[in-house]
Amino acid sequence: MEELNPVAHEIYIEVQQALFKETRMLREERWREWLETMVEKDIVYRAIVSQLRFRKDNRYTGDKDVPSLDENWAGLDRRVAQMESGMQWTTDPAERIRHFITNLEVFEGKNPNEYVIYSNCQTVRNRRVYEEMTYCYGRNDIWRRGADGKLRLARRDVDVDERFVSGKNHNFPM
Amino acid sequence: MVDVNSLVDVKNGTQAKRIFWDADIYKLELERIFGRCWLFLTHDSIIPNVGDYTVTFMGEDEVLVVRQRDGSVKAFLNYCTHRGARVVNAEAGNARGFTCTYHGWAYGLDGALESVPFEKEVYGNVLKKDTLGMKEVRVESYKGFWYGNFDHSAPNLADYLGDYRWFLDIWMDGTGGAELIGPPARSILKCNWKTPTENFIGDAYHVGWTHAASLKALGGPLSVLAGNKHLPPEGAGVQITSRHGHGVGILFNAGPALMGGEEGAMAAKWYAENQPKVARRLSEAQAKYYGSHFNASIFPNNSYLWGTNTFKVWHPRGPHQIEVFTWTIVEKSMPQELKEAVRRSMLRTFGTGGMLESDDSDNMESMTNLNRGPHIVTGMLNSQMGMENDHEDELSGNVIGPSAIGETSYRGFYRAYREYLKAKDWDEIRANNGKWKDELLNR
Ligand code: FES
Ligand SMILES: [Fe+2]
Repeated sequence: MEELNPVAHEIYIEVQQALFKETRMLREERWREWLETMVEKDIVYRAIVSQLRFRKDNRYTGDKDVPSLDENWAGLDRRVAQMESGMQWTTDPAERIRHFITNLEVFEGKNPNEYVIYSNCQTVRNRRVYEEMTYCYGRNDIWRRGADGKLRLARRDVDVDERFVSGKNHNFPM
Repeated sequence: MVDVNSLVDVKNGTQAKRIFWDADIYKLELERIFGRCWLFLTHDSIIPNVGDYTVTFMGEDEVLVVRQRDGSVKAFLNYCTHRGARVVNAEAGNARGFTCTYHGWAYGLDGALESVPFEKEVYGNVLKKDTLGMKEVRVESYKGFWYGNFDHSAPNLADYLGDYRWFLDIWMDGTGGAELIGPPARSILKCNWKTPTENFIGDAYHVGWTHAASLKALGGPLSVLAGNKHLPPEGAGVQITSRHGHGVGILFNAGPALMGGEEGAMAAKWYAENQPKVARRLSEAQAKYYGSHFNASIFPNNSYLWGTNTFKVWHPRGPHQIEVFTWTIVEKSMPQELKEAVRRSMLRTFGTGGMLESDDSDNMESMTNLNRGPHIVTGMLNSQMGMENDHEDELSGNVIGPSAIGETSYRGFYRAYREYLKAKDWDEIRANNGKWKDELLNR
């Protein structure tokens, strides 16, 4: 992996606050606000699981990534619209989703206004009476500072550890 | 002893709720359905080269599928004949052979036991290696889609698909073939394996209601159904059920069902441009269905949506749980850009992070788990919609329900379900070949 330069402490704290704010916004179901104020228009939002392969097998030509989310801004917009429709009975009564973000590392990005952010996440999702689902994954984010000085998410690559999805699906903000 | 006759009333279009719950019924299903039907394994595109393999399930049995040196495909139960440990722990790959992790017995690509550590020293001449190969399962392919069968007296795959091929060919062959994009996503749902199978085989009824929010948000031809604002108009589609229980529901010209915007336009253009080609390769009648939306299942547990392009196997894990394998379907000759759009749209709708997938699974789980209640489980399920309109489809040889929304394919699925559970072998099933439609058509 290429050498990355860690950012200054104030920026580290600023990024951390942005990530915490993002999860709180999503937890409070402020999806539209999140999309409009915290997400860049050229967003790439992906989540993958990895197929199990033998370490020494370099002959097989099939993809190893198993995508479960591969969205652009328009796709995220459709997902938000689904929630805004007033007809989404699977989240009525509401689900409760709590993110825990840790092992945060923040580096300078390729472009001067961008940051590369690594984190580990554990997300606990509760729905209906009995369904509590836990998801463990890493996130590689790129956040970009706009002309207004605010940080926005430009790319998110979610790398899920669990090979199968025991928690039903990945249809939630990761 | 399960009283099979009490489980399905074909003429009346009802089924006992117990079929989603009882352990003894499930045991009989493993024996008489998963033990004798063709079960989906993999596609040519997943194991293209010699030594390529993939691991999957047939019912609850773990199976290793391997591309052979002569280009053929073999499948084996994924256990070692020594003490029964798993032979291959990866899900897919390329190998020259397979070595068990426990004591190192080594098998060839063809499943033969090739070497045993210290054989001379520890076994002398005792071991009959030629009888200790991995246990082989019968496999056959249709248009590059490989299926396995535990029963050697089962009809061949083409005959098992039978007149249903008339519909399969439209997307599997119409433009020169289809393929699957893997690896499969895998997810666990707490539902009986039949709840998603019956939903995919014949449930256009739920689309406007269960998926109201998704349809409204996504756009595309199906979005007019959102919130049950409209019924599909008269003549907007048909439902089909066939000899061995496979079925399909068709919504005419709704191919790119859930693809809105530019991507939807690209898909619609593709279907329109290729319709004449399909007419030439297959027939005018089949080409009429090209570019429609198919919701379908191949008996017992292999479902697909064509137009939404998802391909699924619902592997049973006990009566109350399944493991879902999900791939994307593309037509081989689609331009790369369209394949990419189709794949993204599939993920957005019916992938493991899909908007519609999550809608469906909630229903399937409650349909299953409420049956723990002794008063709930005694009831009957109803699939009577459109019963009086079913008739023979002269074009394809199947039974057809002449409307977009109806439960014809449900009834046909459970007719076949009962037939498999009752019959003691394939000869008994074969004896019904001439009269399978009678009960469905109430004659
Ligand atoms: S169990 Fe496989 S080598 Fe012994
Ligand atoms: Fe559905």
